[in-house]
Amino acid sequence: VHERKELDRARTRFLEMMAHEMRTPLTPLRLYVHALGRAASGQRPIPQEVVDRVIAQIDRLAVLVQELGDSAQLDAGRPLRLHSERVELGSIVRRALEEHRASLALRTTPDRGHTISFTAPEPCFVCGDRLRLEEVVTHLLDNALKFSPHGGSIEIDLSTDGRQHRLTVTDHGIGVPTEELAELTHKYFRATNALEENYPGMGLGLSLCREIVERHGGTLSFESTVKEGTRAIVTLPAEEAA
Amino acid sequence: MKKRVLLVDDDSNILDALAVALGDKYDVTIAYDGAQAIRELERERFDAIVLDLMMPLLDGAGVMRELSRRSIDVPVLIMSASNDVHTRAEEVGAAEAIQKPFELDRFECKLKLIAARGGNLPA
Repeated sequence: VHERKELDRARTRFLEMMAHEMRTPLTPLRLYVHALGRAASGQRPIPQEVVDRVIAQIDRLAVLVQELGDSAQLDAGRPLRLHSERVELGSIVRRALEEHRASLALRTTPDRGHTISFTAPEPCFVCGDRLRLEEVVTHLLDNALKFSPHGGSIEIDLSTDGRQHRLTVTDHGIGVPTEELAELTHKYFRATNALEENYPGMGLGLSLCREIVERHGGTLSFESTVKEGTRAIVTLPAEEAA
Repeated sequence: MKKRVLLVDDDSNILDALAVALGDKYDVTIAYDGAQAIRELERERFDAIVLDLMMPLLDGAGVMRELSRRSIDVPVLIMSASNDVHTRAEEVGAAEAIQKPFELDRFECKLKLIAARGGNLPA
């Protein structure tokens, strides 16, 4: 009975957060479209920057909808479909970093003065779904940025022992209470301090990340200390170099 | 002279879009969190504040408490994606409230009303 009540509470919180997360990109979207309408009716040129921002907001909503769709698919017992190919993890991280820089330039992500370092001593090939793995890296990076203070540093490191690759994303943000670490990848779960301090989120992303990583034969785990930071650790089986 | 408005939200997209929409009519300053908003309020005089409720570090209710503690009397329009935005706005003592997403005309109407009242510098 206690577990069911807890699950009900988590579901209610999730639905409230989902409504909140969806209304948030709809707000600038509506304002930008209004601005475009005014430009069009005044027969002024449509500013490309505003069009790019509209597309960025639609993309933001599309990611939320994708997360919901994936989550529902898993609930129904249908595994995510992977389109596997031989891919290099470093190139996936670099692509995620490029996307992040583009969103900073477009100001769809606020520039909070973070520094991001990336080290990859050698190419790390895996047999995997490029887009799904990029989704994982992007989500871990977004989390690191979200929970970091202004001007904080984030380190992404890729290493290998030849049989297994290890990707870590380390931040120096609010951290996660030790007793909650094991629950971080549970659906709907949100760390107590993240909830109390009003950090946005639906509690779906990390559960999807774990699903994607495990479907690739890997693992997703976390190390963290409250007020010191968090390290997300992804391991993936190595694909031998061609 | 244009009325001075402080926009406070942790979402840069909303701030940018509002700054673009209001730029012709208001002198707009933006703050990405509650702490930055308080620093701006200590430095400048504003006719109105547009304030999000749910922000990390110092949330909208915290900003309202700080305003009261520092005797800064500026009318506040709460804008939030929360379901109970109007109740929450009443609880924190805001002059007006609007739920995200909103129509710009409706937002401007509410902002015009509260900005007309204007604010005072801290005692």
